[in-house]
Amino acid sequence: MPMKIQVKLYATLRLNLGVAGLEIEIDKPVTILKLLELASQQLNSDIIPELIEDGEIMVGTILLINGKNIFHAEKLETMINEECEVSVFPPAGGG
Amino acid sequence: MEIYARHINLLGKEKFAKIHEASVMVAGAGGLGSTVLNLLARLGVGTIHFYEFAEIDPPDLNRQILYNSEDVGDTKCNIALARLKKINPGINIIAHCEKITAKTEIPKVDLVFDCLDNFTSRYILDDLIFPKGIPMIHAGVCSYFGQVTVIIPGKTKSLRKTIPLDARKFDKKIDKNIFPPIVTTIASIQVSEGVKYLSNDFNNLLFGKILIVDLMSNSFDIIQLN
Repeated sequence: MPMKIQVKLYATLRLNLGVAGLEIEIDKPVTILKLLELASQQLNSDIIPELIEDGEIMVGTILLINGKNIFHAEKLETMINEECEVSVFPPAGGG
Repeated sequence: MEIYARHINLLGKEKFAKIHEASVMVAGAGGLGSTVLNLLARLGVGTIHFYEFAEIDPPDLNRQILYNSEDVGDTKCNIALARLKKINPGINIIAHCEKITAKTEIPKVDLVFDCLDNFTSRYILDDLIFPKGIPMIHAGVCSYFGQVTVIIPGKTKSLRKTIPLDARKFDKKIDKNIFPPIVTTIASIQVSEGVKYLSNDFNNLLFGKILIVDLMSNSFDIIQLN
């Protein structure tokens, strides 16, 4: 049964990619890394270099699945196996 | 009390009394800290400790509203203390002209405002206060964007766990370009959240969630955190 995943982008990602979010339909569980690849295909723009560096989540990128940080799960191998919302944002560091 | 006449009835006397009796700490008196301190003093928060060690440089003046061009070269700590005392002589303001380190003895306060400009220092502050049960209003700003979240020991994760990153690497990449209105906007939200926390308004408080403000597109998004 197809699952709808809402991907929401914030701050500089929204600015750089020119899109606030998208809906991706998957028909089987995928890793968050695979989901980002699917997002790139759907956007017709490779978002991976904005988010991943040397195979790891880029320093300063926060990836949440239903509000849970993948840093506290299996990182890029975290599975998405149900309909959910993926939020991606780079925290602002200045003061 | 006349200087509080425009908000004491709005907040209600009971709520105002809570903030007037409160003791808070502001970490950093730069961009965010300038506005946070200014508003806390005008609101009448009873005791305000603040920490700042830097001097005033010309690029600070686009957003650090406690300072003027004549202050360049002076210490922010001394200038901020003098300005804040002039704004409201009826409260206690204590300046700590020092950098916050792992050895800093945090004063006894009800709440801390994170107005620091890097995550290395933020994590040091987090490590000092989270185990003591002291809550923090975290904020960060960059270009047109900013975020705010309230960290409450026992109710939320620490800042280090809420926004986990390699602080040393991240801090090297911080973009210093900054749109002044985002700084005062985010700092104002910090103070608004601080008033809610001090007056026990947990229903509307940004804890367990993070607010991301984007002044470029006028978007205010709240993301639930788990």
